Amino acid sequence: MFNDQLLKWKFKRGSDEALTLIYEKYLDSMLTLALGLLNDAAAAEDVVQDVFVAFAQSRRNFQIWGSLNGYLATSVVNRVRDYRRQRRRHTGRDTEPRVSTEPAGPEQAVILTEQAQLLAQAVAELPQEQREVVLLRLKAGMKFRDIAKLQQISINTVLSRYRYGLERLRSMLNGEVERWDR
Amino acid sequence: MGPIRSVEEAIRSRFNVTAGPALHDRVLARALREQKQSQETESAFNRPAIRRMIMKNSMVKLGIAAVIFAVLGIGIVEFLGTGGTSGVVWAEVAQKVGASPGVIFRTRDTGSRNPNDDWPNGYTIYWRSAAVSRMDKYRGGQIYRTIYLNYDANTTIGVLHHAKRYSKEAMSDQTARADKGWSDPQGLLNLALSLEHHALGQKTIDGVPCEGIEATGPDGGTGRLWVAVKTGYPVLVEIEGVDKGGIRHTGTMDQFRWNVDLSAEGVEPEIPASYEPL
Repeated sequence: MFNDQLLKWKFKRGSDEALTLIYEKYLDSMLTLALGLLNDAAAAEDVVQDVFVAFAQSRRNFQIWGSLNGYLATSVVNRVRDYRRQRRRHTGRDTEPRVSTEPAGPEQAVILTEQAQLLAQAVAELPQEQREVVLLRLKAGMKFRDIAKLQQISINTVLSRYRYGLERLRSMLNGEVERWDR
Repeated sequence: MGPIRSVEEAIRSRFNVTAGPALHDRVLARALREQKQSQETESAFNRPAIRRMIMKNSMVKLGIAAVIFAVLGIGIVEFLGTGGTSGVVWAEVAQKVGASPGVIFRTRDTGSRNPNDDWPNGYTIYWRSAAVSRMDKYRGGQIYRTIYLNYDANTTIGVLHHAKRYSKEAMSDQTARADKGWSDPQGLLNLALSLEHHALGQKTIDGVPCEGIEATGPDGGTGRLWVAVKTGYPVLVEIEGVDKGGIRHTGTMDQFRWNVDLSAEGVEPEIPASYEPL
């Protein structure tokens, strides 16, 4: 497997293969992040398309240092904010994101879909600033200090938002996730 | 695991979205086109051929279904290998399992990773046929989840009894393609042909004289199948295995009712009027 440093280096040199591999590696996680932030499948698709197109265009100016995951996640957040400001109108889509994991059987597939739906509904109920922190931390794997930089707030505020966000999720899910250990 | 840690873990591992193939291809084509356009004014680079690398997180799966296949299939192997030399005619076991239009059974399982391990209080009742499948999960004597699959109608119903919510959806391709376990006799046969096994002799289970055999599955798990000498139907399956994370799991299947016509059993769950859609 290519590591990110090598992928970035090859991408900067114009490699289609590197762009494809970066895309394959991060598409689903960025789509999950966008969908979590927007709770709108069509809008999330738009955002992710914008992010990867802009990424492809940025090759010459792309800075090779720093986390690729963090760069793309930050791009998603910024696009989501733009999107919210513009409130674009949508028409039909040729595809919808679908909740997916690797189930151990048909019943498990149904259970996993239900669980993802419950989580998506609960996340959508969070205030936007808490939702951003929770998803950037848990889905994009960003460090709290990088989230603080992105949100232009102190790290203590980020930690508070994260804690309040999780408490709120726990309350909304009403002990449901504890049953999922099985 | 504490409540907050459980929420963190759930968001990390269970809140995932996969791009559909049309979205995947459309966005990739756009990105590659943009990259190409941005390069046209520059010197040409030596571009390697594009190849796709699908990177997926591997999920730890015990593969209990595979082991179940294994132990049920043993009878067929025994028949094929020896022709049957004991009280149980294994050829008939294979035929009966394959010919049973429906079966109802109970499962219980443990996994030492799970702090909420509720053996022996928790159990699951399955109804299985080629056309329908229903699973009711119980804890502390109370039903808390029902999953119903109708392969003929291509629909699924999920009921969260404790939350009083339900879902009714078209069956996804992923669900339709997933192993059907006991409802796939041909799958049992195919797997059985590749398994090692040995006879366990006779013992009495709940007053029923049985004969058993033990097999080792491809993942190293072991399964023991006990069949009633008189009826030739399986009465107990015991499974042990260690998953990729090093966690030991055990499982049993018992309380079998074979040859059940599930269409007459009212398998489809009734959703109480007070339940809300998910």
